[in-house]
Amino acid sequence: MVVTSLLTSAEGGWPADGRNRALGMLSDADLVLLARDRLDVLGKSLKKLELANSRDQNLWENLG
Amino acid sequence: MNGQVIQWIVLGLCIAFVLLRLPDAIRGRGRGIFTALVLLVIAVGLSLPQIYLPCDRFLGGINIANLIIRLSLYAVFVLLGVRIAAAFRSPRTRWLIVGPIGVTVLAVIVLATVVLFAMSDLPESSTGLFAYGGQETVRLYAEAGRLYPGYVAACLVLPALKGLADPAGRPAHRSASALLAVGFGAVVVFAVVSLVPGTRLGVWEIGLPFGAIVLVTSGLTIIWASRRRTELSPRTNHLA
Repeated sequence: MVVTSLLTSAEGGWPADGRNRALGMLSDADLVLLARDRLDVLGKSLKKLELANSRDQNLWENLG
Repeated sequence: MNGQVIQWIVLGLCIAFVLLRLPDAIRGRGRGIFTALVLLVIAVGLSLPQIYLPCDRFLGGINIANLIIRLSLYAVFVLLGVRIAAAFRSPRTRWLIVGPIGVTVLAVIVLATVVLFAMSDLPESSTGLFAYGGQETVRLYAEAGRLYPGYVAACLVLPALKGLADPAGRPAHRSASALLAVGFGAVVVFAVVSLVPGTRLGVWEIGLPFGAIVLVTSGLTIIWASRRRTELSPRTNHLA
């Protein structure tokens, strides 16, 4: 619950620098790969949104 | 009598839809669909004896008004066909309607319509040419009048179904696509069923074509309304 920020780290009983230490233990490459995966997911959902928007626009321009 | 009530209601509905689009059309937007709806109002209006008989008397009393119904319906279907093909991004549908095949079909049917009309003996105004139903040329003329709309509608059913099946589509657009698909489906059924000689459609003689008009025009109006709604409320950025 701390990870999903439902609770603050103090409420969850984590040490104050727990999050940073956990991050620091990951290698740079792991972090970069993780970021890449996140961006990948974001990019795909944005692409879908843009496609849906352009379809709507097309429908409106022709039939609206 | 009952059928005529339906026709009056459909006429009222079509006029209402045209008036909704009038301000946009004046500003030069959506003129294709607007023109199609105006022509549709003319065709539906002329299917009523109270409007047909005075109009035809004005045109010489030889049923030219009926020919006008046919030709405006063809124009309605060309306009709707091109627009809907573009709206659903279906170049193949567009090609089927205004490509070489489509133009040939249209030319043949327009020619057949005019020639059969000229060959028929129609000395007096008769709404829907009911008084001349026994003539073979009149029967073929009516058949031609159903075939072209049937052809274009058959081309449009598939793209409309695709619009309905799009999981990312807005609910409004999917329901509009459903209305278009069912409406054009009804036009196809009407054209095909009437091909079989001796079929008596009964209530559906009015129900199918006028039901199709209601479905298609409602579908178009839903899309119009959804555009209006989005333009009136400022667009929210999904990322922010």
